[in-house]
Formats: sequence, C-alpha cells, structure tokens
Amino acid sequence: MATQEKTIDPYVRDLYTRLRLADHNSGHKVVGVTSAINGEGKTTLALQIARVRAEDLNRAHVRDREHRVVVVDCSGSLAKHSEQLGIEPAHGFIQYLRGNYTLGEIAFRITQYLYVVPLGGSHEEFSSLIRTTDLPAFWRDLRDQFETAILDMPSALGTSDTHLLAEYVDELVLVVRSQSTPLTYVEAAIRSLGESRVAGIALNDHRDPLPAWIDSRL
Amino acid sequence: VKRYITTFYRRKWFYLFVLVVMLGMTGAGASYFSSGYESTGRIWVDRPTIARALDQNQIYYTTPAEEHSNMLYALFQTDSFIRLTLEGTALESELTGAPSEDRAIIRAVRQNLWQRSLGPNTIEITFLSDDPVLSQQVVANAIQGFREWEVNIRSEEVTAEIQLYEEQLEAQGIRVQEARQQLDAFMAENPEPEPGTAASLELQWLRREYETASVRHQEITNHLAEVRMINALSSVYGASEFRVLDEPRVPESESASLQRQLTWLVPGVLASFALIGGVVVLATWQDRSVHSAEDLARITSVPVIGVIPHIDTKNQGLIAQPEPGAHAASRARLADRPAD
Repeated sequence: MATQEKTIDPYVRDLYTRLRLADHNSGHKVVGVTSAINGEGKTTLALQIARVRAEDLNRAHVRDREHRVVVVDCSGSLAKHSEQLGIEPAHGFIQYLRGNYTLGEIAFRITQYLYVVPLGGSHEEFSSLIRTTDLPAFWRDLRDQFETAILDMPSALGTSDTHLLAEYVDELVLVVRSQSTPLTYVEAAIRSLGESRVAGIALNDHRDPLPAWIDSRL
Repeated sequence: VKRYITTFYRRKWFYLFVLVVMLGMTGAGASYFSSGYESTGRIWVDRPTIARALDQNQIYYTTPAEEHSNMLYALFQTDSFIRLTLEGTALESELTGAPSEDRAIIRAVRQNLWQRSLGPNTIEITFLSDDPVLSQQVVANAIQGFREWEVNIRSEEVTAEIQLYEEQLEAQGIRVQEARQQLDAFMAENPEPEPGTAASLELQWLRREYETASVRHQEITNHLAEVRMINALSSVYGASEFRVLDEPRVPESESASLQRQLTWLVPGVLASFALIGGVVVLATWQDRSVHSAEDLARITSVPVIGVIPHIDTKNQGLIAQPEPGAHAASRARLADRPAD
C-alpha cells in the first residue's frame, strides 16, 4: 500500500520495462505520453519515466554520450515547473522550429543524464509551427543525440496535434487517472489514436478503494 | 455492495459531515418542535356494568382502555370534536365557522392533541401548546366532550333498544291474541274431538301456536324490563364506568417528553440515513470512471503496462534526487549557445 515514505520509482521502472519488452524492434527511442483529457498526470509521469531511466543509466556508470534521456514538452505543461527544474521556459521547441536554436541549445540539463526541452512559447504557436516547418529534422536530431526521448504530448481528445506528433513516436503511452477518467473518454481516445499505435495504458494515481480490513470482509 | 461501500468510503468525510449536520438539525428540530406547555389528564373507563353482569359469557378481545382510546382517536379526527375542545379557549374567537378558514387552526390542534391507553382501563389525554392555559383547557374540554359523547351514545343506544323491544312486544301481543282467538273459535266448533281425528290434531297445533307466541311475548317483555332497568340505573353506575383520575392542570414550565421527541427524532434520523444512502446509490450509478485495470480490459485490448499508486510527491519534488548544481540547469545545456 502506498505511503508517503514510498517512492514511485519501482512502479515507474516497472512501467518502463514493460514498455521496452513490448517493443520487438531494435529498441524504441521516442516515447509519447498522452492522455484522453487534461489533468491525468502525464507531465509528471513523463518526467518520472525520464528521471528513473536517467538514474538507472547513472548507476550503471554509462559514460556514453548516447545514453542521455530527454523530456520534450509538446503541451506547454512543463512551463509551470520551470522554476523547480531551473530552466528557461522562453527558449525551447518553438525556437528550434523557427530555426533560431539548435537542439543542443534548447536541451537543459537537469541531472547528469536527464535533459528537458521546454516548449518555449504558447501552444497555439507550437500548433501552427508543427504543421508548417520541417518537423522530421527535429526527430532525427533527437534520435541522434539522446538514447531515450519522452514526449509530453497534449491530450488526445483535446487537439489533433497529438495525432500529428504520434506519427513520429515509436511508442505511445496513454495515461489514465484512476477513479477520475470516464471509461468512455478512454475508449474514445484509444479509438482516435488507433489501438495498434498505443503500446500500453498507465493507470495513474491509483488508490486502494477500501482499506484491507474492510476489503477482506466483503 | 462493494461498489456502494467504495463510493461511500471515497468521500466518507463529506458524507459523514452531511450526516452529522442532518442529525444535528434533526436533534435541534426535535427539541424545538416537541417542547412546549404540556397538559395531561387521565381517565378511567370501563364497559357498561349491567351489560357485563347480564352477559357474563361475552369474550372481549380488546381492553376497555383500547376500545375507548380508539373511539377517542376517531373523535380527534373530526372537526366538530376539535371545535368542541376549543370552546371557551382563546382560540375559539379565531374560529370563523368556515371549514376552509378554520382548517389551519384545527389541524394544528389535532397535531398536538393525542391519547394513549395506560393499562387495561386508563387513558391519558395530552395537549401541547405555547399557551399553558390553552393546553389545560383543551384537555379538560376533550375529557368533558368525550364523557358527554359517551353518555349520549349510550342513551341513544338504550332508547333505540327500548323502542325496538316495544315494537316487537306490540307485534307479538297481536300474535298471541290472534292465536287465542283461533283456538277459542275452534274449541267452540269442536268442543270434544275424538282422539286421533283430524280435528284433534288441529286442536293440538293451535294450542302449540298459542303457547309459543305467549313464550316469545314473555321473553320480549323480560328484555324490555332489563333495558329499562339499565337505563334507569345508568346514572348510578355511569360513575364507575367513566371517572376522571387526574384532572388536567395548567403546566408551570415547558417540557419535551421523550416520546414526543422520538416522534420527531426517529423519522429525522431515518430520513438522514436514507438521504445519504440515496446519494451514495446515485453517485455509484453515475460513476463511470476507471477504477482498475479490469475496467480497462473490458473496453480495450491495449494492455495496462503500469499501475502507478497514489504517492504524495510534494515533499519529494518532481526530480527526487537532483544533481548538485541542478538549480543552475538553465546555464547547463547540451550545447552552449555561441555568444551573440
């Protein structure tokens, strides 16, 4: 049972491992994290997946520059965590798409192997740019410079940006907040993205509905 | 059942808060509405003494108190009796005589006037009011009205019975007379009929007719005498059949009997629990959210690859183990931007 002293690391590591096992190719590099609606905890989960992966690499003393992990903000949600992460939200993905910055210049190092790419502007601007600029170039750079990229994507039912971005990811993880997200929304999101495209569902913020002493009596 | 308990447990503090508020309101309401000046009178009732004496084999399935309590309850449901209880009280002047206008007053009096049986022969009549004098007057009027109603009922019953027996007696007297005349006429024509002849048999039949009519006439005469005796003695025995044990008094202070409070508390408590139960049932029916991996398995073949428990990460931060100098991450980029 979850307590305040526990960390979610084992659960996130377990999720990441299952994701890798589900991938029968040579190994995924770009993982998209999305949800049916906003507020499911996808930004937090994307950061945690990246952090755990980076820590695992750090413990293994992997000194290869290829073994870097990055979180790419595609929804603008990371901006509210910029102070905590110590990043400049003004420079990010949008500036790259405009050709003002290189990927290296917008990837902020958080820990030894963990980097973050903020959105760098409004979502409306981003939405317009991904439809008009050379998006494939960004993914090539991303795959070249990072071992794993976690995309914090917008919600699937909120905007078609998610479907556009989903074309470039290797795996999609759908985050569902337990005891909150309506089943019909989950069903609609999976149908919208395509069942074959979604690698798995992460049931987030799950709580045991009843204490064990009540559950055992029912 | 588990679904409903889960729904309740998930928002247990909300439901418990609402329940506590409702129970508190019920308690306060019961205390407010059941308190007032309460006047009580007790009466002793019994069945008619002579009727019991004359018919000792009669089996009764209810006690006299229960019988009279039921009668009293029926009277309380009539507007005329309630009007009677208000005679000479402050409320009487407020009655207009128009049923539609007096309805509210009569209903208020009826709601606060009640009776109950105490043991086999005692009835308690109570009235609750904001006015102590009114309270005493209504109970006194109710007792007096009930006594008069009982006396009138018995008197009417006896009168009707006497009238019935007198009519029967008159009719039976005519039959006796006719039978006697027929017998006398036959004997005049046939003074000494031969035994075994038709005339002899008819004479026997006429004699039996006369005797039967005479016996029946005598029975009715006896019944009539009994009823007349009961009527004559009712004023004597009536005192033992209806006695006021405790005259209602003007109450000196407000009170709230437990029984009266329970009449408010019990429905209030039941309604509170029923409301919470109803809301829980409704919330359960309305809840279409995902609760488990099994719920997801029912709608899609996409596997659940992770169940992340609820963990309060406020103290842990987004990045649980930041590297020293991570606060300056804005300066540490993958590639330095060339100086402008």
